[in-house]
Parts: sequence; C-alpha cells; structure tokens
Amino acid sequence: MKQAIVVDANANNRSTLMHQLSQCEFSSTFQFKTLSEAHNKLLGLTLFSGVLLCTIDGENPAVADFLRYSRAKHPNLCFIAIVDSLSLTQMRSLIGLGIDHVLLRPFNVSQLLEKVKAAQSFRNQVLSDTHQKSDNDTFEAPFERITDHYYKISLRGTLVEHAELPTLPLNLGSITLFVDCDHLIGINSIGIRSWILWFKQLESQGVQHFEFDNLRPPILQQTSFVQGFIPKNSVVNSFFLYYWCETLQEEKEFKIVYGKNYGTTQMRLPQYQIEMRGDQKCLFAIHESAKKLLRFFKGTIEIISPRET
Amino acid sequence: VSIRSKYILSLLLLTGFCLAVYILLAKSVFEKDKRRSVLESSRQVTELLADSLQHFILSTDNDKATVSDTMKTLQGLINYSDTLGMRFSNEDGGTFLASGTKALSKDSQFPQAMANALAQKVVSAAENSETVHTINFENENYLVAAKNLQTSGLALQDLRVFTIIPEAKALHGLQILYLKSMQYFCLVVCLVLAVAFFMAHSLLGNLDKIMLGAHQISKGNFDYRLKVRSKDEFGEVANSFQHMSEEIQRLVLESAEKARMKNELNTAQAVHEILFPAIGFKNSSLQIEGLYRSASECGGDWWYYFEHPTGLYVLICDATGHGASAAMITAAAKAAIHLAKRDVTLSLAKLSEAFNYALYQTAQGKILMTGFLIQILPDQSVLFVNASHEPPLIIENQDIRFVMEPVSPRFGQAPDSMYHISPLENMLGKTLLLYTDGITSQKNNDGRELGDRRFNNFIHAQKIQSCDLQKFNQNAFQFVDSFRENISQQDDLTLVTIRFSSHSS
Repeated sequence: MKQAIVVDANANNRSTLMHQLSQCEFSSTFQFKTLSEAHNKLLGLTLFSGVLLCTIDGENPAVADFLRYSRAKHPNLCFIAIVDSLSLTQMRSLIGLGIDHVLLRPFNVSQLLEKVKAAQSFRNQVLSDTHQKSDNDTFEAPFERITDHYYKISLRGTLVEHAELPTLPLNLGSITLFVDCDHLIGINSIGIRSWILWFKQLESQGVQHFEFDNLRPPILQQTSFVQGFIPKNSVVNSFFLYYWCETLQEEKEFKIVYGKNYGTTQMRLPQYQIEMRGDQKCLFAIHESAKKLLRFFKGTIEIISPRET
Repeated sequence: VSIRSKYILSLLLLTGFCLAVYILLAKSVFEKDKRRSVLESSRQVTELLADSLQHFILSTDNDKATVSDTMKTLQGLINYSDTLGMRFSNEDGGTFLASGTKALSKDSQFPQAMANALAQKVVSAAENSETVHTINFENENYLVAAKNLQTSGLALQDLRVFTIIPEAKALHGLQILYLKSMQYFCLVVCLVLAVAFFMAHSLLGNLDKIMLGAHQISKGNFDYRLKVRSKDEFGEVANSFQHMSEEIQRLVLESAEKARMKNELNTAQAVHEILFPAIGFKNSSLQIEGLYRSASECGGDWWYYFEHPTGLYVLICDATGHGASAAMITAAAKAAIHLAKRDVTLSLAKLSEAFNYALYQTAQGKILMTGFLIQILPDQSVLFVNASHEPPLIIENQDIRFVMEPVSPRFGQAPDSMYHISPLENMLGKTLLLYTDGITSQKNNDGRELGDRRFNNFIHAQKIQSCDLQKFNQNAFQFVDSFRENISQQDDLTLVTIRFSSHSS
C-alpha cells in the first residue's frame, strides 16, 4: 500500500505535488501546511507505510523532533526532503536529521517515483537489518546515492580481520561521501589498516570530500591517534562522548554536534544535568580521560574539567 | 565365548525345549482325548447301523415273515459287517445272539466258539446301558457300544444292536497319527535349524568382518577397508564404521599437524619471549619495569630498552593483529634496533627512521606497528616519538595526564615517513606509563570496554609513586582480568612503567 503525506506551506507547490503523486498510483495522499499538522495526522494513524515529502526551507529544529517521534510510531516512514538547491551545509543538516533521500526542484513524475522507490528500498533495508540481525558485531556497509554529488554509506558492526569494506562503483566523479558510523561499534588494528587503505582507494576514485557522522568513542580514539585515519578534506559532523556522573557512578553517551557544540572557533562542551526523583539533579560531566579522544578537535573544543563546576 | 557359540547354543537349547514341550503336550492330548474320540466313533457307528437295521425291520412284512426268516436275514447282514453283533429274544423268551465273525478277529479267523463266548460277555456288559464299555477278554480289551431297536409289534423282542472292536485296533490309527505328527514336527525343526544356521553364518560373518576391522584399527591400521557388501543394518554399520575409521585417520593426522604447529608455536613463543628484556632497569635516578602477556602463544606487542652512549632508549610497540605473524614483525623490529644501536651517533630520529625502514622492507606495508619511543638523555631530559600509539600517561602525585602531541605515522606504513621528535616535560619525580590498547579496549560480559576512566581510577588507587613497579604492573593485569570476567583476553597486554626520581644523577 503506497501512502504519501505532503508538507509544504505553499499551496501551489502542494497542488503540483499532489497532481504528480496522483500519477504515481498512491492509494491515499494527504497534504498539510505545517509539520505539526502532519504530525497530528500521523499520530492518529495506526499504520502508515509510505513516504513523507516535506519541503525543508532553512534550518528547522522542529523537523528533527517530528522525525524522531514519527519514526518511532511508524518505522516504515520514508522521509524525502524537497529542496530548491542543495549546498554542502544543507546536505550536512539533512543527513543530521536522518532523511532517507533528497529531491531537488524542479522534478518530474519519473524522478519523484525513482526517489520514492530508493527511499523505500533503503528503509526496508534498515528495517530488515534491525529485525534480522542478532549479531551486532557483523560488519556491513550499505551504500546509497543521494544525488549526483552526494553519496552516503552507513558502517555497522565491528571492523576486524574478516570484515570487507564495499567496493564502490569506479569513477564516482567529484563527490562528497557522508560516512555514518552510528552503528560502527569497534575496530581493531587490522581494521584500521583496511579503513585507511579503503579511504585512500575512495580518494583515488574521485571522492573529494568526506563527512563523518556519529563517531563512537572506539572510532574517535583512532581518529585522534592514528595518523591518516581521517582522510584530508574531511569534516567530523558529530560524535559521541561518554559522560560520567560521580553521584550516580554511571556512564552515559551524549552526542556532540558540529556547529552546535563545537565549530571553527573554540567552544566548550556542555555538561548535562539530569533531574532525578526528589528534585535531585545529577551532573554528567566529561571525564579527564576523554581528552585524548578529542585530540582531533584540538583548538575547537575545550573540555570543562569537572573540578571547575 | 564367542557370539556365534552363544547363538548356536541358544538355538539348540530353544529347539530342544520346543521339542520336549511338543512331545509332552502331544502325548498328554493324545492320552486324554484318544479314548474319548474312539468311544465316540464307536457309538456313532453303532447308531448308524442301528438306524439301518431299524429301517430294515420296519420295512419287513411282520405278518408273513417268521422269526427265523428275519433272524436269518439279520444274521446275513451282520456277517457282512466287521463290528456288528445283535442280541434279541424270541417269542418263547429265549435269547439269541448273533455276531459278525470279522468283528472279533483281526484276521477273520476268530473261532466261532470264542466269538460266541465273547458275545456273551458283551451282552452282559451292555445289558443295561446304551453307552460304550470296555471289556477284557482273554487279556485283550474290546470296546463295546450298544443301541436298542424299536421292536413293538414284531415277532422279535428286545432287539439290541451292538458293535465290538478290539481297543488296540481302534487306537492303531491314532497311534500312527501321533507318530506321524512327531516325524513332521522333527522335520520342521530340522528345517528351521538349518535356516537358522545359514542366517547365523551370514549375519555373524558380517559381524566377524566388522570385528576384524575394529581389531585392525585398534592396531593403528587406518587404511584397512571393510568388505561388507550387504545393504542391511550390518551394511550401514560397516559404512558408518568405515566413515568413522576415515574420520579417526583424518583427526589423527590433524592432531599430529596441530601438535607440530603447537611445537612450532611454542618455539616461536620461546623466541618471542627472548625479544623482551629479561629484567627491568634500575639506577639511582630511574627505574623501568615492563610486563607483557599475549592473547595467544605469541603476539604483536613488544617493549624493549637499551643503554647507549647517547642515552637510554625505551620503546613500546603494537603490530597490527596478533599471533605468530605479528610476532615475526617484532623480531624484525628488534633486529633493526640492534643494527641501529651500533651507530655511536644514534639519535631518536635515526632510530625511528631505521625502525620504520626495516619494518616497511620486511612487511611491505601489510603489517604496521604503532610505537612510542623515548630517549632519556644523561641529564634526565626526555625526547619521544609517538608513531600513532596509545598516548602514554604522565603521573604526578594524583594528577594523570596524557602525552598528546605530536602524532607521527605508524612504523612500516611508508619507507620515507617522517617522525616528530618532541621533548617531554620535566619528568623528575614523575612516572611515565606506556601501554598498549589491549588494556583499555578489553571488554567485559556486558560488552563494555575497560576504557581510560576505569584505568585511570585504578592508577589513582595504586599510589604509583611509592609502590613497587613490578607489583603495580601485575596488579594492572589482574585488574584487567577481574574486569573481563568470563570474556577471553582479546588483545595482547603490555605495560611499561618508568619512574623518574626527584633528583637527577
């Protein structure tokens, strides 16, 4: 069953898109002016197996919250962002939001259909991986083309001796590759060697720029201390750090995002206060030992020592 | 006692038992039923004949026929019979007895006088009854059955028909039947025995072959092949046995190969162990202690120190992977170090370049090595090179900090890699802790890594400035072991502790 939800403030854009969707044999289509209207609709539905076509104009923090809540209720939801132009900054932002695909205006019906199929295929792959995989250590690297200039690869599992990094199509052209490491949970010394060789090969195939997202601490450590682990012309958009609460004697992971928690100028990493029962507030701070993980970000991140608080 | 003997013995015993049971049962049944059946036969014959005679008498014209005529006719009938006799009384109340002479003599030569005497005895025995009786006459038993005929209105009165037959003659048929049945039973038993022996030979022959095979295999002859062609269970057993023999042969060869490899690994382990310093180093201003434990027989971690006119050099390295291949690289690394230290103008830069060149030429970039090299100059100042190695820790009282910068490429990555030589801060009164990532990356049952925070907390608790360094290193490994619980050691562990005294020599 193909269902579609269209969110666009512009009525003309909406009617055009609805007309195009009518030619794509969707069983039902809904249109809304705002994300909050779409959100209400999705909350009311018991099952939604379709696509959400949403115009993204500039930064919209509500989109992230909307996606998080909607995906939790409707795991099949495919999110396609419709944009007028796509700069690297925009793409970075969209990847950070977790979009499945991007559609550039103007587009025709066949392009729309192609994107819907690609987004659904990717979502199905994610779902099947989530449901079927029992061994989280198995390495996988699904690869997808977002546009002619932007590609995305999601690394999962543990990169060790027998793990194979994928062979990408030859002559990719001058592209930017987004590397999502959210589910890459470990790497050993042989994996490091494979990683470095693989990125060198990608550079020779024409990948001009790498954008890394969601680096976990084991990977972040290699980023900091293995020379050449992160290729030149790379940006780390986000990573995770372990925070430690002395009161609870508990460790938690927090995501640190480029442009928000660090950037081109030095920024202090936040500390997190979590309210507990009885109005008790627990402070999660970065442990001194985390400093070594941040060597890659030298000069752009300052760690607040727990003793300063 | 072989299974064949047991089988034959049990077969014979079973056959003998069956035969004995059959004979006893047959004899018992025969003895029990033979008399009853013979008497019943005699009675039925008597009745049959009596019915015939009755029919004849009733069809006779009583008014015209005289008693003597009728009597003659009956006498004639009786003379044709083997077993018949007759008793009747005439009008005068006299008794007349007639009997078939054949009935009383096996060879029909029975004297008439004896027949009459016997008939007289029969008549008196059967006088008051129609049942069958046994009488003895001249030491021979005779079976007698009698039946009264209807004679009302006849000249003949009290007409009774009886049959008489020697008991031996009557039972003769049954005796023959009994003997014949015994003969046939024995014949069947013999046939069954013959078939059983044939089957036993066939089955036990296959078993003998399997036993022979087992015997050959027990002697180590794994090339022996069983020749059982039957497709029954024995065939399957033989095939399974054959397969088992081949598997044992394969496993034996594998075990031998493993034992050989184990020996070689033990040799490699012994060689690998001599790559490490036998003892630590200690003088008035410095103490060095190191501890290494591989994840398998030998590994890719290595630490070493040597004295040279240009200073004391300490290094810790970690080759990609672990096991024998990584250990081979550490051997090459040590050879490179020994070659390099022949140079009286040795410096950390020269050592790093020689080290890198030797590793690159040995492994052609396939196996790399991270490393942290330090040179302790005579004035206790320290220079270091960090080739993408885990940053060491400087411990000063309760303060622990990493040696973060700068980082150089791994050894063996490229033949012309450049290495940054940097001075370390003033180390007097401080401790430098060099270690490999096997310590902090060890996971526990929950899949959590030991991590820097836990390791740093452990160091804090040990009061490293005053404790025995050997003991500290051992405690550190015990700490890793207690953290990992049931999880095996995942990587080689190496820990080198360098304590600088608070005064220079």
